[in-house]
Amino acid sequence: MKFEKHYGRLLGVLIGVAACFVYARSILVPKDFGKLGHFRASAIDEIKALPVQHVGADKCKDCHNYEYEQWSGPKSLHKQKVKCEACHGPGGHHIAKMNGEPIEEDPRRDLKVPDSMVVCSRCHLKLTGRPEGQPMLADLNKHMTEPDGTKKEKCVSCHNPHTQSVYP
Amino acid sequence: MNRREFLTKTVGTGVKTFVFGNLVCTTAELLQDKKSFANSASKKEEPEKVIFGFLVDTRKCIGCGSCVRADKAENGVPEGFFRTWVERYTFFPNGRVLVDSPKGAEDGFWPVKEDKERTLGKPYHHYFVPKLCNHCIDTPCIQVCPVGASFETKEGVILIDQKRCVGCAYCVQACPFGTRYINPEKGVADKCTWCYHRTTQGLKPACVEVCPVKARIFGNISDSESEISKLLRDNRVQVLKSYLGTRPKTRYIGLDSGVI
Repeated sequence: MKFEKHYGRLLGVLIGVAACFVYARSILVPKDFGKLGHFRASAIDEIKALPVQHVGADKCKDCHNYEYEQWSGPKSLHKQKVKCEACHGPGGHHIAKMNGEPIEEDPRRDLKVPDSMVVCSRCHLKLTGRPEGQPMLADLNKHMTEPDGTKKEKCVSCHNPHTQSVYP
Repeated sequence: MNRREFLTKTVGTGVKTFVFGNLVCTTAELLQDKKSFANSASKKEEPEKVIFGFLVDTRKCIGCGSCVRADKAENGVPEGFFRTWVERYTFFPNGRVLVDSPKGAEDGFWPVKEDKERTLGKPYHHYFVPKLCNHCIDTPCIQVCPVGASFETKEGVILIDQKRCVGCAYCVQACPFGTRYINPEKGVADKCTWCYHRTTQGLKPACVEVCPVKARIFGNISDSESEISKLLRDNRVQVLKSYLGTRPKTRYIGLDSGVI
Protein backbone atom coordinates (compact mmCIF):
# COMPACT_ATOMS: atom_id res chain seq x y z
CA MET A 1 0.00 0.00 0.00
CA LYS A 2 1.54 3.27 -1.03
CA PHE A 3 1.65 6.05 1.52
CA GLU A 4 -0.49 8.75 -0.10
CA LYS A 5 -0.15 12.41 0.90
CA HIS A 6 -3.58 12.66 2.51
CA TYR A 7 -2.74 9.78 4.87
CA GLY A 8 -0.09 12.00 6.37
CA ARG A 9 -2.50 14.83 7.08
CA LEU A 10 -5.01 12.49 8.71
CA LEU A 11 -2.31 10.90 10.86
CA GLY A 12 -1.12 14.34 11.82
CA VAL A 13 -4.59 15.38 12.96
CA LEU A 14 -5.04 12.21 14.99
CA ILE A 15 -1.68 12.61 16.69
CA GLY A 16 -2.45 16.27 17.33
CA VAL A 17 -5.78 15.46 18.99
CA ALA A 18 -4.21 12.69 21.09
CA ALA A 19 -1.43 15.02 22.21
CA CYS A 20 -3.93 17.73 23.21
CA PHE A 21 -5.92 15.17 25.17
CA VAL A 22 -2.88 13.87 27.03
CA TYR A 23 -1.76 17.42 27.84
CA ALA A 24 -5.20 18.48 29.07
CA ARG A 25 -5.46 15.37 31.21
CA SER A 26 -2.10 16.05 32.82
CA ILE A 27 -3.38 19.48 33.90
CA LEU A 28 -6.92 18.61 34.88
CA VAL A 29 -6.46 15.35 36.77
CA PRO A 30 -5.04 15.99 40.27
CA LYS A 31 -1.58 14.61 40.95
CA ASP A 32 -2.64 12.24 43.72
CA PHE A 33 -5.62 10.81 41.88
CA GLY A 34 -5.51 7.04 41.66
CA LYS A 35 -2.99 6.44 44.44
CA LEU A 36 -5.41 4.78 46.86
CA GLY A 37 -8.20 4.08 44.42
CA HIS A 38 -10.28 5.96 41.87
CA PHE A 39 -10.28 9.18 43.88
CA ARG A 40 -8.06 12.03 45.01
CA ALA A 41 -6.01 10.64 47.86
CA SER A 42 -5.65 13.91 49.80
CA ALA A 43 -9.45 14.11 50.19
CA ILE A 44 -9.26 11.64 53.05
CA ASP A 45 -6.99 13.87 55.12
CA GLU A 46 -9.08 16.92 54.29
CA ILE A 47 -12.20 15.24 55.61
CA LYS A 48 -10.41 13.97 58.71
CA ALA A 49 -9.34 17.53 59.51
CA LEU A 50 -12.89 18.91 59.75
CA PRO A 51 -13.59 20.51 63.17
CA VAL A 52 -15.37 18.46 65.81
CA GLN A 53 -18.41 20.27 67.21
CA HIS A 54 -19.76 17.91 69.86
CA VAL A 55 -17.13 17.72 72.55
CA GLY A 56 -18.64 15.40 75.13
CA ALA A 57 -19.80 15.93 78.72
CA ASP A 58 -16.31 15.83 80.20
CA LYS A 59 -15.34 19.10 78.53
CA CYS A 60 -18.39 20.82 80.07
CA LYS A 61 -17.23 19.68 83.51
CA ASP A 62 -14.25 22.06 83.53
CA CYS A 63 -16.45 25.17 83.93
CA HIS A 64 -19.90 23.86 84.77
CA ASN A 65 -18.86 21.56 87.58
CA TYR A 66 -21.98 22.19 89.69
CA GLU A 67 -24.38 21.06 86.99
CA TYR A 68 -22.06 18.21 86.04
CA GLU A 69 -22.06 16.91 89.62
CA GLN A 70 -25.85 17.09 89.68
CA TRP A 71 -26.11 15.30 86.35
CA SER A 72 -23.62 12.57 87.24
CA GLY A 73 -25.09 11.89 90.69
CA PRO A 74 -26.08 8.34 91.62
CA LYS A 75 -29.83 8.91 91.28
CA SER A 76 -29.72 10.90 88.05
CA LEU A 77 -31.57 9.04 85.30
CA HIS A 78 -30.43 11.39 82.59
CA LYS A 79 -26.84 10.56 83.38
CA GLN A 80 -26.86 7.10 81.96
CA LYS A 81 -28.59 8.23 78.82
CA VAL A 82 -28.96 11.92 78.04
CA LYS A 83 -25.76 13.91 77.70
CA CYS A 84 -25.33 17.68 77.98
CA GLU A 85 -25.16 18.33 74.27
CA ALA A 86 -28.38 16.47 73.54
CA CYS A 87 -30.43 19.26 75.14
CA HIS A 88 -28.06 22.21 75.05
CA GLY A 89 -26.51 21.88 71.61
CA PRO A 90 -22.88 21.34 70.57
CA GLY A 91 -20.10 22.67 72.78
CA GLY A 92 -17.38 23.23 70.17
CA HIS A 93 -18.11 26.83 69.32
CA HIS A 94 -18.96 27.77 72.89
CA ILE A 95 -15.61 26.53 74.22
CA ALA A 96 -13.73 28.24 71.41
CA LYS A 97 -15.51 31.54 72.10
CA MET A 98 -14.85 31.28 75.83
CA ASN A 99 -11.19 30.68 75.07
CA GLY A 100 -11.14 33.80 72.95
CA GLU A 101 -10.52 32.04 69.64
CA PRO A 102 -11.91 33.74 66.54
CA ILE A 103 -14.86 31.68 65.40
CA GLU A 104 -17.16 32.16 62.44
CA GLU A 105 -20.70 32.68 63.73
CA ASP A 106 -23.03 29.86 62.87
CA PRO A 107 -26.54 29.78 64.38
CA ARG A 108 -26.67 26.02 63.89
CA ARG A 109 -23.84 25.61 66.37
CA ASP A 110 -24.97 27.98 69.11
CA LEU A 111 -25.59 26.78 72.63
CA LYS A 112 -29.00 27.34 74.10
CA VAL A 113 -30.63 27.18 77.49
CA PRO A 114 -33.56 25.16 76.32
CA ASP A 115 -37.20 26.14 76.74
CA SER A 116 -38.24 23.20 78.86
CA MET A 117 -41.81 22.97 77.53
CA VAL A 118 -40.38 22.35 74.07
CA VAL A 119 -37.30 20.34 74.85
CA CYS A 120 -38.70 17.99 77.49
CA SER A 121 -41.77 17.19 75.35
CA ARG A 122 -39.52 15.98 72.58
CA CYS A 123 -38.78 12.86 74.57
CA HIS A 124 -41.48 12.74 77.23
CA LEU A 125 -44.73 13.50 75.46
CA LYS A 126 -46.94 10.48 74.89
CA LEU A 127 -46.90 9.79 71.20
CA THR A 128 -47.96 7.13 68.80
CA GLY A 129 -44.81 5.23 67.99
CA ARG A 130 -42.99 5.49 71.29
CA PRO A 131 -42.10 2.23 72.98
CA GLU A 132 -43.68 1.53 76.34
CA GLY A 133 -40.49 1.69 78.43
CA GLN A 134 -40.20 5.45 77.95
CA PRO A 135 -41.59 7.65 80.79
CA MET A 136 -44.32 9.62 79.05
CA LEU A 137 -47.06 12.13 79.72
CA ALA A 138 -50.29 12.03 77.81
CA ASP A 139 -51.98 15.10 79.17
CA LEU A 140 -49.70 18.07 79.75
CA ASN A 141 -52.42 20.37 81.06
CA LYS A 142 -53.52 17.96 83.74
CA HIS A 143 -49.96 17.35 84.80
CA MET A 144 -49.20 21.05 85.13
CA THR A 145 -52.23 21.81 87.31
CA GLU A 146 -51.79 21.51 91.06
CA PRO A 147 -54.54 19.94 93.22
CA ASP A 148 -55.49 23.41 94.44
CA GLY A 149 -55.93 24.72 90.92
CA THR A 150 -52.73 26.73 90.40
CA LYS A 151 -50.99 26.15 87.12
CA LYS A 152 -47.27 25.67 86.79
CA GLU A 153 -45.66 27.42 83.86
CA LYS A 154 -42.85 25.15 82.81
CA CYS A 155 -41.43 21.71 83.43
CA VAL A 156 -38.51 23.25 85.32
CA SER A 157 -40.94 24.90 87.78
CA CYS A 158 -41.01 21.52 89.52
CA HIS A 159 -38.37 19.29 87.94
CA ASN A 160 -34.62 19.73 88.02
CA PRO A 161 -33.55 18.53 84.57
CA HIS A 162 -30.07 17.59 85.73
CA THR A 163 -31.14 15.34 88.59
CA GLN A 164 -34.82 14.59 87.75
CA SER A 165 -35.71 15.25 91.34
CA VAL A 166 -38.80 17.29 92.01
CA TYR A 167 -37.99 20.58 93.75
CA PRO A 168 -39.17 20.76 97.35
CA MET B 1 24.27 -24.10 9.68
CA ASN B 2 21.13 -25.76 8.49
CA ARG B 3 17.57 -25.40 9.76
CA ARG B 4 17.73 -28.32 12.17
CA GLU B 5 20.85 -27.05 13.88
CA PHE B 6 19.39 -23.56 14.14
CA LEU B 7 16.20 -24.78 15.79
CA THR B 8 18.01 -27.09 18.21
CA LYS B 9 20.37 -24.35 19.27
CA THR B 10 17.73 -21.63 19.88
CA VAL B 11 14.97 -23.73 21.44
CA GLY B 12 17.46 -25.71 23.46
CA THR B 13 19.06 -22.59 24.89
CA GLY B 14 15.65 -21.18 25.63
CA VAL B 15 14.48 -24.21 27.54
CA LYS B 16 17.70 -24.48 29.49
CA THR B 17 17.52 -20.79 30.47
CA PHE B 18 13.92 -21.20 31.51
CA VAL B 19 14.55 -24.21 33.73
CA PHE B 20 17.71 -22.85 35.27
CA GLY B 21 16.12 -19.44 35.82
CA ASN B 22 13.15 -21.00 37.59
CA LEU B 23 15.45 -22.94 39.89
CA VAL B 24 17.36 -19.81 40.82
CA CYS B 25 14.26 -17.71 41.44
CA THR B 26 12.45 -20.32 43.51
CA THR B 27 15.46 -20.88 45.71
CA ALA B 28 15.82 -17.15 46.23
CA GLU B 29 12.15 -16.85 47.16
CA LEU B 30 12.32 -19.70 49.63
CA LEU B 31 15.33 -18.21 51.31
CA GLN B 32 13.58 -14.83 51.44
CA ASP B 33 10.43 -16.34 52.91
CA LYS B 34 12.33 -18.13 55.61
CA LYS B 35 13.97 -14.87 56.63
CA SER B 36 10.80 -12.78 56.67
CA PHE B 37 8.87 -15.55 58.43
CA ALA B 38 11.43 -15.69 61.20
CA ASN B 39 11.33 -11.89 61.50
CA SER B 40 7.56 -11.61 61.61
CA ALA B 41 7.18 -14.37 64.15
CA SER B 42 9.14 -12.35 66.67
CA LYS B 43 7.61 -8.90 66.12
CA LYS B 44 3.95 -7.76 65.97
CA GLU B 45 2.00 -8.08 62.75
CA GLU B 46 0.62 -5.09 60.85
CA PRO B 47 -1.92 -2.90 62.75
CA GLU B 48 -5.35 -4.32 63.42
CA LYS B 49 -7.80 -3.78 60.59
CA VAL B 50 -10.66 -1.40 61.30
CA ILE B 51 -13.95 -1.75 59.46
CA PHE B 52 -16.76 0.47 60.71
CA GLY B 53 -20.32 -0.69 61.11
CA PHE B 54 -23.56 0.96 62.19
CA LEU B 55 -26.54 -0.62 63.86
CA VAL B 56 -29.96 0.97 64.40
CA ASP B 57 -32.33 -0.55 66.94
CA THR B 58 -35.80 0.57 65.83
CA ARG B 59 -37.38 -1.07 68.88
CA LYS B 60 -35.79 1.57 71.08
CA CYS B 61 -36.19 4.75 69.02
CA ILE B 62 -38.51 7.29 70.66
CA GLY B 63 -38.53 9.79 67.80
CA CYS B 64 -37.08 12.67 69.82
CA GLY B 65 -35.01 13.96 66.90
CA SER B 66 -31.84 14.54 68.93
CA CYS B 67 -29.85 12.75 66.27
CA VAL B 68 -31.14 15.03 63.52
CA ARG B 69 -30.33 18.20 65.47
CA ALA B 70 -26.89 16.95 66.52
CA ASP B 71 -26.03 15.93 62.98
CA LYS B 72 -27.10 19.31 61.61
CA ALA B 73 -24.96 21.11 64.16
CA GLU B 74 -21.94 18.85 63.78
CA ASN B 75 -21.81 18.87 60.00
CA GLY B 76 -23.39 22.21 59.13
CA VAL B 77 -26.25 20.69 57.17
CA PRO B 78 -28.29 23.46 55.52
CA GLU B 79 -31.92 24.19 56.34
CA GLY B 80 -34.35 21.84 54.63
CA PHE B 81 -31.77 19.11 53.96
CA PHE B 82 -30.92 16.12 56.09
CA ARG B 83 -28.10 13.65 56.41
CA THR B 84 -30.16 11.57 58.81
CA TRP B 85 -33.85 11.66 59.62
CA VAL B 86 -36.52 9.69 61.46
CA GLU B 87 -39.70 8.35 59.89
CA ARG B 88 -42.80 7.32 61.81
CA TYR B 89 -44.97 4.47 60.55
CA THR B 90 -48.52 4.39 61.90
CA PHE B 91 -50.81 1.52 60.97
CA PHE B 92 -54.57 2.10 60.94
CA PRO B 93 -57.38 -0.42 60.53
CA ASN B 94 -58.31 -1.20 56.91
CA GLY B 95 -54.64 -1.53 56.05
CA ARG B 96 -53.94 2.19 55.78
CA VAL B 97 -50.44 3.30 56.72
CA LEU B 98 -49.34 6.82 57.55
CA VAL B 99 -45.64 7.58 57.05
CA ASP B 100 -44.55 10.98 58.27
CA SER B 101 -41.29 12.73 58.97
CA PRO B 102 -42.08 16.37 59.88
CA LYS B 103 -38.98 18.40 58.99
CA GLY B 104 -37.06 15.15 59.16
CA ALA B 105 -37.99 14.93 62.88
CA GLU B 106 -35.72 17.91 63.57
CA ASP B 107 -38.18 19.15 66.21
CA GLY B 108 -39.33 15.69 67.14
CA PHE B 109 -42.84 14.48 66.48
CA TRP B 110 -46.30 15.55 67.61
CA PRO B 111 -49.34 13.34 68.10
CA VAL B 112 -51.02 12.19 64.92
CA LYS B 113 -53.57 14.85 64.02
CA GLU B 114 -57.06 14.31 65.34
CA ASP B 115 -58.67 14.59 61.93
CA LYS B 116 -56.54 11.72 60.71
CA GLU B 117 -57.65 9.60 63.64
CA ARG B 118 -61.27 10.43 62.92
CA THR B 119 -61.06 9.36 59.32
CA LEU B 120 -58.64 6.50 59.62
CA GLY B 121 -59.45 5.10 63.04
CA LYS B 122 -57.28 4.36 66.02
CA PRO B 123 -53.77 3.20 65.14
CA TYR B 124 -52.98 -0.30 66.30
CA HIS B 125 -49.27 -0.48 65.45
CA HIS B 126 -46.59 2.15 65.23
CA TYR B 127 -42.84 2.63 65.34
CA PHE B 128 -40.04 4.99 64.41
CA VAL B 129 -37.34 4.23 61.84
CA PRO B 130 -34.20 6.37 61.83
CA LYS B 131 -32.49 6.49 58.47
CA LEU B 132 -29.09 7.58 57.26
CA CYS B 133 -26.58 6.74 54.55
CA ASN B 134 -26.18 2.98 54.39
CA HIS B 135 -22.56 3.02 53.18
CA CYS B 136 -23.31 0.12 50.91
CA ILE B 137 -20.78 -2.47 49.80
CA ASP B 138 -21.95 -2.43 46.15
CA THR B 139 -22.69 1.25 45.99
CA PRO B 140 -24.69 2.69 43.10
CA CYS B 141 -23.33 6.14 43.96
CA ILE B 142 -19.62 5.39 43.45
CA GLN B 143 -20.37 3.55 40.22
CA VAL B 144 -22.05 6.51 38.55
CA CYS B 145 -19.78 9.37 39.59
CA PRO B 146 -18.19 10.69 36.39
CA VAL B 147 -15.20 12.35 38.08
CA GLY B 148 -14.33 9.96 40.89
CA ALA B 149 -15.54 12.27 43.66
CA SER B 150 -17.35 9.49 45.53
CA PHE B 151 -15.11 6.86 47.03
CA GLU B 152 -14.72 4.28 49.76
CA THR B 153 -12.03 4.47 52.43
CA LYS B 154 -10.19 1.49 53.82
CA GLU B 155 -12.52 1.48 56.84
CA GLY B 156 -15.46 0.99 54.52
CA VAL B 157 -16.84 4.53 54.82
CA ILE B 158 -18.22 6.12 51.65
CA LEU B 159 -17.09 9.74 51.35
CA ILE B 160 -17.46 12.62 48.92
CA ASP B 161 -14.49 14.71 47.77
CA GLN B 162 -16.26 18.04 47.67
CA LYS B 163 -13.40 19.76 45.87
CA ARG B 164 -13.60 17.31 42.99
CA CYS B 165 -17.39 17.04 42.78
CA VAL B 166 -18.88 18.98 39.87
CA GLY B 167 -22.46 18.92 41.17
CA CYS B 168 -23.97 16.88 38.34
CA ALA B 169 -26.27 15.14 40.89
CA TYR B 170 -26.00 11.78 39.15
CA CYS B 171 -25.22 10.17 42.50
CA VAL B 172 -28.20 11.91 44.12
CA GLN B 173 -30.40 10.26 41.52
CA ALA B 174 -28.62 6.93 41.78
CA CYS B 175 -28.96 6.45 45.53
CA PRO B 176 -32.10 4.37 46.09
CA PHE B 177 -32.32 5.38 49.76
CA GLY B 178 -32.48 9.11 49.13
CA THR B 179 -29.58 9.89 51.43
CA ARG B 180 -27.72 12.31 49.16
CA TYR B 181 -28.48 15.92 48.33
CA ILE B 182 -26.83 18.85 46.60
CA ASN B 183 -25.65 21.32 49.23
CA PRO B 184 -27.01 24.71 48.09
CA GLU B 185 -24.23 26.61 49.87
CA LYS B 186 -21.40 24.70 48.21
CA GLY B 187 -23.07 23.47 45.04
CA VAL B 188 -21.73 19.95 45.45
CA ALA B 189 -23.09 16.63 46.61
CA ASP B 190 -23.25 15.94 50.33
CA LYS B 191 -24.26 13.06 52.58
CA CYS B 192 -23.76 11.34 55.89
CA THR B 193 -20.11 10.38 56.44
CA TRP B 194 -20.60 8.47 59.70
CA CYS B 195 -18.77 11.53 61.09
CA TYR B 196 -15.48 10.33 59.64
CA HIS B 197 -13.70 13.32 61.19
CA ARG B 198 -14.83 12.08 64.62
CA THR B 199 -14.56 8.31 64.20
CA THR B 200 -10.98 8.42 63.00
CA GLN B 201 -10.14 10.09 66.32
CA GLY B 202 -11.86 7.42 68.37
CA LEU B 203 -15.06 9.40 68.96
CA LYS B 204 -18.52 8.25 68.02
CA PRO B 205 -20.63 9.94 65.33
CA ALA B 206 -22.66 12.88 66.65
CA CYS B 207 -26.00 11.12 66.24
CA VAL B 208 -24.78 8.08 68.19
CA GLU B 209 -23.37 10.32 70.90
CA VAL B 210 -26.62 12.15 71.66
CA CYS B 211 -29.17 9.37 71.29
CA PRO B 212 -30.81 9.11 74.74
CA VAL B 213 -31.99 5.52 74.35
CA LYS B 214 -28.98 3.96 72.59
CA ALA B 215 -30.97 3.21 69.46
CA ARG B 216 -27.88 3.92 67.35
CA ILE B 217 -24.71 1.91 67.80
CA PHE B 218 -21.41 2.43 66.02
CA GLY B 219 -18.18 0.48 66.18
CA ASN B 220 -15.48 -1.65 64.62
CA ILE B 221 -17.04 -4.80 63.19
CA SER B 222 -13.74 -6.53 62.55
CA ASP B 223 -13.14 -6.54 66.32
CA SER B 224 -15.18 -9.49 67.49
CA GLU B 225 -15.31 -8.20 71.08
CA SER B 226 -16.71 -4.75 70.28
CA GLU B 227 -20.22 -3.85 71.41
CA ILE B 228 -21.54 -3.74 67.86
CA SER B 229 -20.12 -7.15 66.94
CA LYS B 230 -21.79 -8.70 69.95
CA LEU B 231 -25.12 -7.10 69.10
CA LEU B 232 -24.86 -8.23 65.49
CA ARG B 233 -24.29 -11.78 66.68
CA ASP B 234 -27.04 -11.83 69.30
CA ASN B 235 -29.87 -10.16 67.40
CA ARG B 236 -31.98 -10.66 64.31
CA VAL B 237 -30.58 -8.12 61.91
CA GLN B 238 -31.96 -6.75 58.64
CA VAL B 239 -31.10 -4.09 56.09
CA LEU B 240 -33.22 -1.65 54.14
CA LYS B 241 -34.22 -2.56 50.59
CA SER B 242 -32.18 -5.74 50.45
CA TYR B 243 -33.88 -6.65 47.17
CA LEU B 244 -31.85 -3.96 45.41
CA GLY B 245 -28.60 -5.78 46.04
CA THR B 246 -26.58 -2.77 47.18
CA ARG B 247 -25.55 -4.66 50.36
CA PRO B 248 -25.93 -1.87 52.92
CA LYS B 249 -23.57 -1.77 55.89
CA THR B 250 -26.07 0.07 58.10
CA ARG B 251 -28.00 -2.70 59.75
CA TYR B 252 -31.29 -2.64 61.63
CA ILE B 253 -32.78 -4.58 64.48
CA GLY B 254 -36.53 -4.84 64.47
CA LEU B 255 -37.07 -3.61 60.92
CA ASP B 256 -40.66 -4.30 59.93
CA SER B 257 -41.52 -5.55 56.45
CA GLY B 258 -43.68 -2.47 55.90
CA VAL B 259 -40.71 -0.09 55.94
CA ILE B 260 -39.99 1.38 52.52
